[in-house]
Amino acid sequence: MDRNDPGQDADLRRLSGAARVADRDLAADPELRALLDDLRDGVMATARPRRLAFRLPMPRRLVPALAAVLTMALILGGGLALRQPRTDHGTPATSSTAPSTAPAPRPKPTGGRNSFGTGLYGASHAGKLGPHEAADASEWLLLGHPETPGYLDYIQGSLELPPGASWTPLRHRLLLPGKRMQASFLHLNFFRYAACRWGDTWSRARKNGDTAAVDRAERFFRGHATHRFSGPDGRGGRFQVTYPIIREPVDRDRILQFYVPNCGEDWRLVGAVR
Amino acid sequence: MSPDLLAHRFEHAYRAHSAAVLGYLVRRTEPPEDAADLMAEVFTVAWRRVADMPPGDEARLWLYGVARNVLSNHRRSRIRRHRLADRLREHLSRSPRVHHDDARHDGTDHVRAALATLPERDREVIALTAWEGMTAAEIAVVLDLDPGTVRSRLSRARARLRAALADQDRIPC
Repeated sequence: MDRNDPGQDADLRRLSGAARVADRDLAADPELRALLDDLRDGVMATARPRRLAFRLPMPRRLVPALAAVLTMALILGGGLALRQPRTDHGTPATSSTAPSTAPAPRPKPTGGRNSFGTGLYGASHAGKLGPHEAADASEWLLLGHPETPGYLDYIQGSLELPPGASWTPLRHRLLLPGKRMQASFLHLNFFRYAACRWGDTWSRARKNGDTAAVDRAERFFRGHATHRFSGPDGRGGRFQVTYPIIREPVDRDRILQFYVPNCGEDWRLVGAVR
Repeated sequence: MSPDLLAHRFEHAYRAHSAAVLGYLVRRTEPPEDAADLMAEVFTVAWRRVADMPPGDEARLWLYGVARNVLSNHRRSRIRRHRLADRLREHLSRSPRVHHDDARHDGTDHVRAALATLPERDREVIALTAWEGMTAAEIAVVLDLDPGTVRSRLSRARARLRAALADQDRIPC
């Protein structure tokens, strides 16, 4: 209750007093203290800190107001851009499957226009193009450009693979000189590939009764159930799209619903290659 | 920031606030031993995001914010068992200190019952003030709200709690 409020109800005071006693008892329990220490050691041994996330130097509640100002600036800036030759492609693309409790990966630091970008964007109404092809409004990127591997390094840097898994098979599949793929689908392919490798781990661990590995894999799926992409839309604004990877709430059946038809020998790139 | 410094910061915050965070989780889970898995999740998230953890006492409010998110995710889906939490879960399951039945003995069972009838956001501000002893300004940080909004929400929640308690008095035994 508000410590400065003189009109506290007796009932709430009793509730507060009982909580203080319970907290004191918990803190004074030596066995519990030892278990908490073990838990801390376990947590620090099994997870690792992420890189420092970008933090806004303001309370989050001010973000909508700032976003409105920025949107207005982008609209006005877009009007100016129509009358000026384009020199860059806006801020770089980012993607995330992070839940609210996790920081989004940092944008790739670039000095302006990405040399592997084509300046061509999909139509905002684009959707499914064929059985395994889809398109959206993001930029088409040159897969064979010498700087593209650096961009792929950046995308995969935001994702963790299970021990023993490698990005090499995916990187080989993306070695398509002269071909183009849209930025959103390039990101999505990395996220889906990582989900398949965690699916392999999950499936193997379940068979072997390795509950720690099952937990680790399920943690990945819960943190990456949805893939959010944000990048320039070619008109001075931002294009954002969300692709579901695994339906939530994530459980055994839903992992299987993703894993069985999408991974293994049937695994293929998503998005169109042109 | 060096890895050693990050580890030091995490260990310091854990030592200072882990019991309080456990109390926060125990009071909001049924059965209370489920708090062990949530505790493992809260501090796994906190360790991963330790670079974002603010220094000093703000770390306490930041941890409550993480705990609130974890609890909210837990309520939306089934609980995820943490192997790391096995022993803590077992300890909590046999600890008389954490069981909500204690409310019968400490005379707060009727307040808890009235609290349970309130909308979630009213219950949250009342619980943070009464159980966690937070001021309106501290709650504003945890809930990411304006302090004025918290104060008005708190005032409304108290009125509703008083009404719920009065309703209990009208129910014939």
